[in-house]
Amino acid sequence: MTTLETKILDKKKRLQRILPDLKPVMFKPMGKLSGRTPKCDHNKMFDQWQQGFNQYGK
Amino acid sequence: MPNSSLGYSLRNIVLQPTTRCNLDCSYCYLPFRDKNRRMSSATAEKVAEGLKELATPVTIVWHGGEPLATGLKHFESIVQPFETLRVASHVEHVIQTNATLIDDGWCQLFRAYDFGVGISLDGPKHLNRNRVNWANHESFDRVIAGLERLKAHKIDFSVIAVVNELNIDVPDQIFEFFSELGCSSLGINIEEFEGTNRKNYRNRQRVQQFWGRLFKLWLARPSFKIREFSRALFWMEAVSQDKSWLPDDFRYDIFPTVAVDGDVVMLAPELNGPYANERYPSFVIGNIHNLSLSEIISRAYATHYVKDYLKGASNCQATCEYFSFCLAGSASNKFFEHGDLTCTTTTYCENGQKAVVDAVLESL
Repeated sequence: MTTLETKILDKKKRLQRILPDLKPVMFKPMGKLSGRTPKCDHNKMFDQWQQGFNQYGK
Repeated sequence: MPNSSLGYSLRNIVLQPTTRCNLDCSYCYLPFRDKNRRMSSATAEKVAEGLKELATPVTIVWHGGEPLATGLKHFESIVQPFETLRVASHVEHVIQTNATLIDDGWCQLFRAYDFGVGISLDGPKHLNRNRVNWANHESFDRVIAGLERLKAHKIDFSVIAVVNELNIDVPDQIFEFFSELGCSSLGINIEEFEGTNRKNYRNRQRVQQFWGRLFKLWLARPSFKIREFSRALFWMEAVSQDKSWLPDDFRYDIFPTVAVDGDVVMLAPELNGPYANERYPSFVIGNIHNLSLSEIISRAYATHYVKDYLKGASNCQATCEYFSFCLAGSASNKFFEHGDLTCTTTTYCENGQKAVVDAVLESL
């Protein structure tokens, strides 16, 4: 396990507490663009994240 | 997390309707934005023919210059070739605009073709001073006028804001402004060294302080989505549960950009320009008037720089504990900062990826 993963695990309970309230905003439907823009502008990773979410949401 | 066989798929394609922009923002990376080179209908038709052959739906990202600077009539003439595909849900349109030219006519077009709309705006007027026209006049009032038209037509919009020396120390003001603006989401890019922009924001401590404060504000009042925090928390939850946050068949988006003249570059629209070094003599894979889109994509898989990006991703995967979050960063930052797509860390990684994770963890 990496140092970073350990830090995240240390925050697991905190994450569990805050995420139920945040998820409606995190996954809020917001039109198609949703940050899938080129970068001046872009975060191309978002698209990959969105794909991950689609699977997560199943 | 992607396995060791990193590869590509096609999900987004950037089309450049014009090189021109009516603004001359201080940090812009785009070359030729003072020239009005426009995409022809014939070029758009060639792209549409190519997309029709693809098995999976694709998002078309209209990105200039300023796409609206090409004019409504011309823009519609190059959107029209995709209409059959859009109606069949094989393509969808999104556009990134500075919003200064939005009027009722543009809103009607966005509605008619079901565009997703992204706006570029850095904050309240005094924090938006980097976004000026060619006469050095501030653009803020015209942006707000454009947004009012979008709201009048009930068109949802997201915002991308650039953070640099001007606004990095005032996250409270940025948060308050965007809380009131009515955007559905906010994405923040820390100013980057790429294209024609030679400035890079290098004060990692201030960047992390910015993210940390913004996160605390958002946590206390999460009334709208902030892209970076949503992504970080989603990833952290997956890590904390020992799950992957990505599909098993994850592939990098090959992400073609079709320039006004039909030249196609891969991986990042920022590579569309007069850029080269000894390692990469050109980023143009081919021209849509000489080769089909499928042929260009096939050629890309065997192209030095496209293969190099995957090597770089493998290097990142092997050496960086943030890899499963960042997924190797952007090809354009690697090129412009290091001239080599096999490299690993960039300032973009530090400011836009690692600092976000560190700030969120510190603030939780």
